Amino acid sequence: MPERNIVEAINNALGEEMERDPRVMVLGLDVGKLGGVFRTTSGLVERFGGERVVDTPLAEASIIGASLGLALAGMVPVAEIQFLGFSAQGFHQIGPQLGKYRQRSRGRYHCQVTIRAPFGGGIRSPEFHSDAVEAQFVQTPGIKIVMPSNPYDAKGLLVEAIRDPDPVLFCEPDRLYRVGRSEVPDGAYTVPFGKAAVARKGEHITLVAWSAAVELCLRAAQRLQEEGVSASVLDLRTLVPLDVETLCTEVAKTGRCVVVHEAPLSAGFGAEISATLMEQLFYDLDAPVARVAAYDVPFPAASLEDHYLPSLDRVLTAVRKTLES
Amino acid sequence: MGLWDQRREASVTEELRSEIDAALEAAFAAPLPTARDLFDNIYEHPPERVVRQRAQLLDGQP
Repeated sequence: MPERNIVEAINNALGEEMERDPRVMVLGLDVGKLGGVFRTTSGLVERFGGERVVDTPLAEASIIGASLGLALAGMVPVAEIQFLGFSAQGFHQIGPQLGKYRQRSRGRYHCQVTIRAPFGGGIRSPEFHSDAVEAQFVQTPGIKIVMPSNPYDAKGLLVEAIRDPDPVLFCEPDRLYRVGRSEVPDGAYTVPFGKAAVARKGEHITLVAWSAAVELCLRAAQRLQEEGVSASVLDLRTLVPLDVETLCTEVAKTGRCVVVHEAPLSAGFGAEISATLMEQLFYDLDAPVARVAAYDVPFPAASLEDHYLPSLDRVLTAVRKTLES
Repeated sequence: MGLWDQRREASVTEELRSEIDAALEAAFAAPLPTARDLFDNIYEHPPERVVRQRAQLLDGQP
């Protein structure tokens, strides 16, 4: 079976879906001739032409708004916003427009649109590029939020997103784009939304994460094993829909939970996880749910990234404290 | 109208070049940012939670 990194897995998914369905098209800044800022759309314009792989101006609201119109006209657009932090410029077109169109039209119309957006820290990019603002979109009903952490899931979840009749925000962990390869089969397969994955089994504590934070949690679990602590790692895969059943099942097994994410602490999605566990699992918890997140400050200059982002040490400290509770 | 000519353009170019050079010099002479800078100049009166996070990072407080 071929091995691919996340960039190659996404490129493979896009190419196969465009082969399968002539309605599928790609649009965004530099997606054509350049092949995408991270080369995720490399070679697509040569295969499918400029009418299905459309270079656009640097105008996020226009990219999303045009995608909405294309979807209403029967196309299946996959829009690329070069960095999630710049989704602010297109926010109205995503939440209030794409997210509400089905309800506003009383079900007459739907928007089969996928918005791809790299995000997250660790690549030393300039300001606004690295912001992890996924939780903002959780508050825009009508949008599904997908957060792959590995190449296999990146392809399977993207195929699922493209085929989903509702709008999907597909957030790509740019730090992991080229970090290692794993088996990613040729040919279409889907990873269903709302099905979290147990990335590592453990008995003493459950680490809950999504996207690049999963990789951090796996490193933490490996280190904890050396201390005799058996930590499980749960990869949520999608925030909307949230797999509450697997979340509660896995945390109930250990009775202790640490949520790790790259977004700032306050009102981050970790708060939703914590509240859900309190509501559904209160009597099975042996310790308060802990959160390890970025600080409640703006994403800093590149040289300060390592102070800002959740670190291995901070995860280990939170785990030890939770185990002592 | 006489508002712009080669002499005026050369003068403005030189003026702006000097301004940019001075800014670069000041930038290179400035100390590198530290972790403390993460929390500076965000609020006049930082919320308690931010104050606590600052202490966690800088002083290792729990």
